[in-house]
Amino acid sequence: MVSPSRGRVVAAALLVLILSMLEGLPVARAGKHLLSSRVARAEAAFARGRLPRGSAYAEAEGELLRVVVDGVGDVPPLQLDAPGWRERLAALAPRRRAAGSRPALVMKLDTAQRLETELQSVMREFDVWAFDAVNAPLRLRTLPVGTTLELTPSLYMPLGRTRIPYDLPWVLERRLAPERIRIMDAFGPDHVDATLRLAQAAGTYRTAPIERLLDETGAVSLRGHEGDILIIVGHVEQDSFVIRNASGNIVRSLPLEQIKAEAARRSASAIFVGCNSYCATGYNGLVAPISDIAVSQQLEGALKEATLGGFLSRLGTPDEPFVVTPDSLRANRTSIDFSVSRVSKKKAAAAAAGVVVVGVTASRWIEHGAPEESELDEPRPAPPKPGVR
Amino acid sequence: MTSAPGCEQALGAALVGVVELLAARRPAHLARLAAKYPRHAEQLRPGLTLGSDRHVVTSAELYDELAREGLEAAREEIRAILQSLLPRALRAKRLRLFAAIAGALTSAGVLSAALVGSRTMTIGGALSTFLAACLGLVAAYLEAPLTGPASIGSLLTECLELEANVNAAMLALHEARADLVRLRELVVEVNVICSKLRKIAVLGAITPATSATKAMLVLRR
Repeated sequence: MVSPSRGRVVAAALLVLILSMLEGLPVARAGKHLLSSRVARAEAAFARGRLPRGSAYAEAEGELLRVVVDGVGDVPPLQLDAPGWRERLAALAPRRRAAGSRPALVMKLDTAQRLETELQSVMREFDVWAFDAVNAPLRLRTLPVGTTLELTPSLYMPLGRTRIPYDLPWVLERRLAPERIRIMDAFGPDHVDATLRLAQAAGTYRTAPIERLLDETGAVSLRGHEGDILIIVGHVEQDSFVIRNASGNIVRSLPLEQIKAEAARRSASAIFVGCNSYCATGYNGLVAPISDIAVSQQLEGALKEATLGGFLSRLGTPDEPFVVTPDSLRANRTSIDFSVSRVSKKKAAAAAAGVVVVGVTASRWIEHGAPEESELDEPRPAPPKPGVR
Repeated sequence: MTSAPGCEQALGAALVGVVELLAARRPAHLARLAAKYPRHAEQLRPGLTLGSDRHVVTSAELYDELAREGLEAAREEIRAILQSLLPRALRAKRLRLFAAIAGALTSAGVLSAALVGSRTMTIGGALSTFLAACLGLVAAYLEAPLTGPASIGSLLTECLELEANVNAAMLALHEARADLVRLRELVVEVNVICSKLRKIAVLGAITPATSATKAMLVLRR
């Protein structure tokens, strides 16, 4: 038999879920205001995941931060424009808790985005999670590139100011077709050892020099690579792959934008592996450069993965994760632009110089290439099952 | 030795060749350098950094040692290349001679067979032709590098030119003393020598290469 309080929680959860999905409609907003209270949303959040005791739900309303604490209830709202609110919020974490267990602070994505830069002290006491209308709550982590959402232990997405692509989990679960993957080496002819290592890691005949992507005029041309996933590994300076000879002089420079545009035109996917401007203009501190050896090793493991998510996750490690950065959220079924940054979590100050950026552009990483028109009419992928990951 | 202000220079692609050759030929010496200059330990590890390297070298002593070690490693590499490629070139030359002799015998044999009408001589002539063709093929195989249109003869010529460059660089290194700017230029020259030697070693099959690498190198040449 279901207890009345349990039933109330379940009903509230369903109500919030339905209203969240209808968010944006005037009737939904009105209904939400009348029928759904902050407490109900908190209960829904608590019900969605088996959160540790003492977890809290926070929601920004104007300059007020409303907080509900599990087992305590509604606490006096915090004034966001007054000093000390962070400390008061952090102080709501229960003092007595089991070893290794941290209470969760759950909030809606827009609240998390609004408070992004101010959650540092709070995150020392709480595991902070953010959720939106579609996606299950994602844990917030602080990386040198800023506050991020954890997709997998080695794949992150910056919190940013934009919504999470509704089909991001679906895209990450797409199966990779090994025969579609091509590794392009942009090391240049004077770096034979780097070429050897990449070829040994990536396997025979999957690799080719980047010159293969150039036409007679020297412009990037991906003709014949329609539907392929091109992983371009090389030395990046500013916004270009730069090939230098043994004297250190530039032999060739290929702007990433040019490759991205051509990839989009040819429905190919270009994944750029190379340090980006974080290296040159990033933070101060120690340097942890990424070499072709590390990339080759990571690539060898990543190529064994079956899905795009697994592939991107394996390009990073829990210590040096990759960050998926939505460039422009053209999150339709066939195309999504995002870039991936590899960062080091070991030392915050050291991380920027060790960043490897992987930019993924214009998809078709789907096994059978771009879907037919009829496929586009298929229903959208179902939202993930409720529950904190 | 002193460091000259304003002469700071970021390490990067211009040093990778030296470090890679040292890693292949003299790993213990490379490890000693990395231990002696811990600030540059990252740069003294093999591998191409995939981004701008903001580390700067202000030590003329490091440049000097790196250039010396690089030149010593280059000498070892040249020795190894010559030891491997010279006998191959000589073998190929002998085989070509035998092929030519077999070819000459064939033409004489065919003429005799035609005049005498001997079946045995005709078969012998055919076998001789076959042998000449086989010897020619083996010679071509020995003369060809792993990939590309060049022959091992051209690789040997390049290697000998690089040997002359090594000697010249060694002399220049003695004269450079503690001049940081000159030492840096010399390190870059040594890097070019080392990179070319690594390429010759791969093309000449001194270093094992995968088929994918062969394909890539073919396309680049």
